[in-house]
Amino acid sequence: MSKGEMLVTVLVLASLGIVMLTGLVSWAGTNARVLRTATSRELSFHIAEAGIDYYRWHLAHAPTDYRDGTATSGPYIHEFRNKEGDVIGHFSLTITPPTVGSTIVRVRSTGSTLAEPTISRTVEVLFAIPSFAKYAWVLNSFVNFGSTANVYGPIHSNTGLRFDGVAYNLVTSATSTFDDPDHTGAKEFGVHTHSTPVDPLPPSAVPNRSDVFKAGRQFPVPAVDFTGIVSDLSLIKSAAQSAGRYFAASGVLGYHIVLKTNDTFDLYKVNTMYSKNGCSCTGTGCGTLSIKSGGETFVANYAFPTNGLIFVEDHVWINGTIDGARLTIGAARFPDNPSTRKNINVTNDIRYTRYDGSDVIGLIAQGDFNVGLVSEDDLRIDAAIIAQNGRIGRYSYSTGCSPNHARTLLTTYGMLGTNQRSGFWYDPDGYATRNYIYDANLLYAPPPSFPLTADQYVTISWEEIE
Amino acid sequence: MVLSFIIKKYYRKRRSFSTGFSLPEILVVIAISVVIGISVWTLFIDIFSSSRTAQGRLQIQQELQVILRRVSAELRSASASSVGSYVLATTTDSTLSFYVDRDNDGLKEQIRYFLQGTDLKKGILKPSGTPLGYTGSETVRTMVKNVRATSTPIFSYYDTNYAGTTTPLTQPVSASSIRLVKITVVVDDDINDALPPLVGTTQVSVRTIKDNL
Repeated sequence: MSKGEMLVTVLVLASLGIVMLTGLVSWAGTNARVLRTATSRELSFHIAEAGIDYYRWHLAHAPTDYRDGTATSGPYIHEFRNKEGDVIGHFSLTITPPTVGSTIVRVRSTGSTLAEPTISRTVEVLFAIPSFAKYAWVLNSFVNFGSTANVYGPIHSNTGLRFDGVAYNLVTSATSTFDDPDHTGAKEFGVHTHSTPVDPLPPSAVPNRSDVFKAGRQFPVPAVDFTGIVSDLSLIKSAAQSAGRYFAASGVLGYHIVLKTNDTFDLYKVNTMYSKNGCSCTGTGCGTLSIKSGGETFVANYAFPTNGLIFVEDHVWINGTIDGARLTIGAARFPDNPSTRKNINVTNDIRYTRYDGSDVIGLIAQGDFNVGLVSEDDLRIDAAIIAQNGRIGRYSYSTGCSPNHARTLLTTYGMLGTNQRSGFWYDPDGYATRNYIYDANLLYAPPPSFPLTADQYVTISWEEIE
Repeated sequence: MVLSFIIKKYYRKRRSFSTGFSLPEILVVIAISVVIGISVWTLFIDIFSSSRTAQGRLQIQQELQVILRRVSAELRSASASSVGSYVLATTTDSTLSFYVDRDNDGLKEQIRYFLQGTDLKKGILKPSGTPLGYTGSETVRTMVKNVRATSTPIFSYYDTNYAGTTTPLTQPVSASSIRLVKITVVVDDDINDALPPLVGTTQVSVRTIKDNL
């Protein structure tokens, strides 16, 4: 063997080794980097969520502070520490306060780690204090939903309710047991069904009826405060006086508001209603509640107020169509007295142009919400309706009121909140078919200054922004 | 006759010192080569097949990961439907359906994960019509194949009292009591092989109904 012959072999093998080792090291490096990135991404997400949780806590203690306890407009940056107390990352909060008359707070939280500050994850949440508009039906009294009822939004009764149809959201009652007035027998569950098999009686265990209550039933739960709406109405009155539209007592029967798609409304004073003329109806205060043709005087055309609040200290008739407007119309007389409570009456359609949540009408009556006698045969009411002390419904008219006593179809789109038991059908008079459609947009955007049902914020939407 | 000729020739060659292989040598060589060849061939087949198996399992594992990540992301953001129905629609052992706006068009799609035979499928139903309703046809596609039934259900549910080791709620569960959903997918593409099945699992809390911070 010649001298130095090994050198070539060593060199070749060494360089081969170096090439392979370099590849291996760089592969391991890449893997470690990928792992670190993945960890940082995950940690950033948790930091972002911590920001959301932090602000939910903040709102629970300072419900109207949308500036994170500072005087600046944000974004608000907070440190995020591990259990040893070392800062390992930051979250940055951007808070969009609610618009006038709303409680929806938009909180966007971006989390990032100190280790890899370029990697961040963002979560956006909507917090809101629930309003009456979160319910499809909210009642202070007993209610009985028949077997054909399909209700999508939540239902609540302060008394008790019987449900034989299909409920796609929670059904709740403020009582654990109650005596169903529709039949004799012992007390039943606060929420019960007679859909076969009929519920057992308390104190038996409550059966799980996922065929009827798709999301379940809960009772007792805290009652919804109808009495408190009076203070909401007085707030609406003062806000309408200062920046909305306020109309004092008309001196005649009341006002007629005709809503228009050009963001204005015509106001009339109502002088005469159709007389009963041999037609009779049952119930206190019953009448035709329908404006006689030519029985009104035009007052003026007004633009919709920017705060969306119209308050009438008298009875009010409403119809018309809106396009891109958000309104709440209140009818009440203060101080609250059972003999002077004001009603909202409807005989013609109230309609939205758009059904994506951009149009909304809230109708809050201190007394009743009535559909009058001379009403459309196919009546459509697009609104969130509350009858604070009275009921949502139509009086039962005798056959002497023919042909107006029996009507074909009533469709509501919105929600219904009524103190007294509601009724539109008295076989054979009233509306033979009734479709109550819940407007799910009310969850995210209730009408301005709509009465609230609680004082705590809840999460109504949660999404990660990619 | 032929044999005596070869033998004679062989001896003649030997005598003349010609080189070459004897028949027994050739036969032995051939025999050895065949044995080695078969071994190498088997080895290669084995290598390829185990690589294929390993690759297949790796792929299943990756698919499981991707799917579980997607389900988690969807379920986390779930909220009430576009018609106002509760965030969770079906909550059985092998079907989970809920509402979420995946495509940011303002409408909540109904997402349904369900087991059909041994396939875990996903159905997407967009609300349509006036008034809105979930009445159209559902788009269904297969997400995971060869899902095996085990004693652990694919979807198990926990309420607000879940503390890490609590047992899941017993079926039928009331959707309104659910706070956390555990998803367990067991995949075994060949039940005859000795390899253990692959298990993918994750837990998701639906943020809009979360009440235990």
